[in-house]
Amino acid sequence: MSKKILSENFDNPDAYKLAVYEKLGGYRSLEKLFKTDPASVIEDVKNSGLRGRGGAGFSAGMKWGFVPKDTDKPKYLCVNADEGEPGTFKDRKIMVQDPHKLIEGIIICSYAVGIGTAYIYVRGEYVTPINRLQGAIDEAYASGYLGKNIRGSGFDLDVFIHRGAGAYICGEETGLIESIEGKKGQPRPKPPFPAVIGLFNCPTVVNNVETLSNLPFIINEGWEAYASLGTEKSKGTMLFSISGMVERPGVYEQEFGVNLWEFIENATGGVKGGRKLKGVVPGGSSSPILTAEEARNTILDYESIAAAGSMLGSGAIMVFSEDNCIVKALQVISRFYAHESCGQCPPCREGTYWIARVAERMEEGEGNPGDPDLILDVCPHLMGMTVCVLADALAMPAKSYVEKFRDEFDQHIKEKRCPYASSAASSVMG
Amino acid sequence: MSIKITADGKTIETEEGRQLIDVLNENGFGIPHFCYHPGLGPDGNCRMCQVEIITPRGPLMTISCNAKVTDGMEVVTNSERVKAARAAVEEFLLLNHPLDCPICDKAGECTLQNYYMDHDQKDSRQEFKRFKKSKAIDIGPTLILDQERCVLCDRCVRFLRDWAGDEQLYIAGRAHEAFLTTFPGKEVTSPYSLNTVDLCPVGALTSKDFRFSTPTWFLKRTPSVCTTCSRGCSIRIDVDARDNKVKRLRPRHNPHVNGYWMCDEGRLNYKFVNTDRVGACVVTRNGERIETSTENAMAELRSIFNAGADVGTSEGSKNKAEAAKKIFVLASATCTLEEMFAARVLAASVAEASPYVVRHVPDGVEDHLLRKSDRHPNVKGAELLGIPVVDFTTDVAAGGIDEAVPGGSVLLAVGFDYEIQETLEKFCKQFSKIVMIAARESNLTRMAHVLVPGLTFAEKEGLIVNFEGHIQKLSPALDGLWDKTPPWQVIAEITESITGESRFDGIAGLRKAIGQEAAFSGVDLNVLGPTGIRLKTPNV
Ligand SMILES: Cc1cc2nc3c(=O)[nH]c(=O)nc-3n(C[C@H](O)[C@H](O)[C@H](O)COP(=O)(O)O)c2cc1C
Ligand code: SF4
Ligand code: SF4
Ligand code: FES
Repeated sequence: MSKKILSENFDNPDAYKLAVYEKLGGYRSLEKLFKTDPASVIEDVKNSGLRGRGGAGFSAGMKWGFVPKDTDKPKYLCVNADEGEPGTFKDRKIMVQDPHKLIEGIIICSYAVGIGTAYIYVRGEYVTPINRLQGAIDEAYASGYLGKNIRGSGFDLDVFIHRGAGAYICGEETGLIESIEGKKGQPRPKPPFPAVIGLFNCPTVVNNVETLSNLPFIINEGWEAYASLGTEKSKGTMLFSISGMVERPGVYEQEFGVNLWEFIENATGGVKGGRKLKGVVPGGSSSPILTAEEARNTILDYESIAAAGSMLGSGAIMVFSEDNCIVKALQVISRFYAHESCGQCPPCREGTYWIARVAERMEEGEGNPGDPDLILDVCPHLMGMTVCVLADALAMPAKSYVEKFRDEFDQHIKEKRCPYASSAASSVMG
Repeated sequence: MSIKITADGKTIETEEGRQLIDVLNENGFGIPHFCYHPGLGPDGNCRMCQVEIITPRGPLMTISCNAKVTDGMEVVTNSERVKAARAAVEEFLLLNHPLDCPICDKAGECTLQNYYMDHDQKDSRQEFKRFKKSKAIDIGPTLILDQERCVLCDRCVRFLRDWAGDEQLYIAGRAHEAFLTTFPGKEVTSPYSLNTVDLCPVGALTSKDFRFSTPTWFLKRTPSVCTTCSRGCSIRIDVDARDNKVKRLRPRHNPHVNGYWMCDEGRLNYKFVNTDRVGACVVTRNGERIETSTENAMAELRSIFNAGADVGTSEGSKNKAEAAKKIFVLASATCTLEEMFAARVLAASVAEASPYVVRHVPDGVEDHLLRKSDRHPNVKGAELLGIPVVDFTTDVAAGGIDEAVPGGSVLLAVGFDYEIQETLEKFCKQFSKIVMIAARESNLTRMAHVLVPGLTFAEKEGLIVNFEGHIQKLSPALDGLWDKTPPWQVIAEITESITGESRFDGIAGLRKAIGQEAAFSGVDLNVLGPTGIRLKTPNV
């Protein structure tokens, strides 16, 4: 069993209530926090090795360190709770089961960076998480964990929920900022980075829900305790949203360093119905697929998965069995990205649409023999070419699907039909 | 701070903190770009301007519009990777483009079209039906929008928001369905709307005025100055080489005056050039207007100004001098510096008086960007020449001229090219004879006894001084049609015919003479350069 930092309270159905959370040891980090110099909190978080769980895996402490110290502008925290990456549902679990842990994390980050206002940008469809979170915020204000002079510390913090309106691109940090500002969610070119010019043109930290929810542990137990978990560069534990063809899909916490497939098998009971494993998408729909072979031979941490040609992303693991059609999977994800592109950059706007149209015709049995190569030719022009990485987020998996499962594509084209069409579970992704 | 960068091995000296794309383009690297514009700044959406910057970790593809130069920066603009990126962006933009170049007004000056030749030149790989959007949408009094041609560069949106201060366009929708549009039920009504047509890299926004008028390759472009208000924006006059008519005015970059922009009113103020022209000299005899040759008209002028003179007798000379003193000179504040100066010389040497420069066009709207309420381009020029400026735009009697006009006086009126208002008309009626140099017929020319054709801004050479004391030069854009003597020369010839003295050696000599004036000291008016010269002490 893995160490539980994030999911420790998931089994307690009442942990979302302040009184219960307090009884479970909640908010006890604050006493220590307010006695610590903010700069050394940032140092501690840097030393803990905590990395962002929103997708990019960037060091949380380093990001905070980029925020200018000597500024007379207000600073903001944007909590990324948009959870738009297909396959990802772990932030939802935190917000529903343990919302106060997130609030505690928000207080820690805000105190360390000198932030007075935090916005939690929640995916609009997340009605239950929003209600739970608002309930928790109200309780926290009532008990003096938020608002003016928190617990007599002299530190003030306001927290607001901002509901998204259903755009994946508003999960990208600068798209998110534009959206909170009331504008169309379109990523900004970088530089400048949000740490310097972010929300309302002020210094801003953007962190994922899960990232922040690790902070109470780091303060309570010390950065050494956190850094002792995991591997050399991938510290701590991570929440994995496991879906697809497994016996028991769900959110599972796991310390880094175990074998990827063994973890999936132990946690979920393995491939549904004892069918053969075809492949594993390890980090959300944006990550390249691993073949069954690769999944069995990869260690679960950022570096090993990168070495295997994929990425850990948001920790959304999708399992494909022999019954799933890879061409269909490409059709589904390409349609998603072609629909969610904000439309600023020609490579993304036109490229995702082009790939989606080609994927669709292959899946419909109308593909041309040149189609797989056309996809391979177009994909590189979507990579590293655009304002944000949404274009890469289709190009990388698309390329991997075609490269690793070329036979399936050719078969669709040759037989002019989808060989899996009769299979009820032909797609994992919809 | 002065720094050095290298681009494709070439060393460039520049200033710290400038946009890389500007530095590269000023040095001839021709970095392609759709969304960047030096007047709008970077937006980073089109991805066409990518170059490689050499970093310790190897070459990094980056957009040059959003990068600032730093000392020692090493840039590659011609690698295979850069070329592939440009070709890719061009291919993406053309995938669902309607390709209606043969009927597009932008053809010939379209960035998308030009870059296809420069960076792509491949056959289309589009096998699907092109995505449809709306075409030929009427979005306001000045503009037509074609959404299919739009490359979504956001320039028009940013211009209206950041400069015009009227956010009247936006990009709605997302992904390939994104489209440029107005806000529901609203039109683009900005007084600067037509700048969006210049900014639009493609034919998505076209000018109702220019639409379908001239294929752009027939246009002859002449740098000049707008004379609609006292700002004097630098412009280009575009003349159709086929019919020698002005078809379009567009702003010309001048950091000292107008930046990259001009207002719609000035831009559309060229049609008068082609209407109601005074085509030949006219003399009026017994109430009848008779067209005549320039020689005959000049002879008529001499006889008017020398009335009563009996050459050879002392009585005759005295009469001549008396008659000459009764010449009263009014020049429009739309006249050039040369015309005003020639008028001053005439009035001084013949009538021992000063001319008046007249404001006669009613004030217009003034705003935060360019427009000045004073609709005369050269009031400042008159002030600098020490000529009193009188105002006939209000109902103040005689425009404020308090000097009584002696009975039997002759009026010489120069440059009144539009209908004049009642007060001015009344003032002019008291003269026994009216002599005019005017480009266009008006209620004033209909009262003239002798009328000599003038030239509009599109046909003449001359200097004007804007309200800030910035001198710029008008250049003749139309040729052949009006090979008339320029107004300043007509005035000089009248002076010469009375005084017997020739004063100026061509327009260069005239400018030299103006240069002797204290207000213009230290400025060579014969070498102004394309953006003009700012007088150091414009308030004399
Ligand atoms: C298209 C796109 C969508 C994204 N969606 C999310 C999201 O839903 N939730 C999230 O936490 N991060 C998302 N990200 C990542 C954020 O941009 C950002 O890296 C993250 O919020 C930073 O927080 P972290 O450092 O704590 O991970 C997305 C990125 C991209 C490019
Ligand atoms: S890559 Fe796509 S989603 Fe990202 S900014 Fe560009 S067009 Fe928008
Ligand atoms: S209409 Fe022209 S300027 Fe405006 S966004 Fe489209 S291409 Fe750019
Ligand atoms: S000009 Fe640089 S991205 Fe458009």
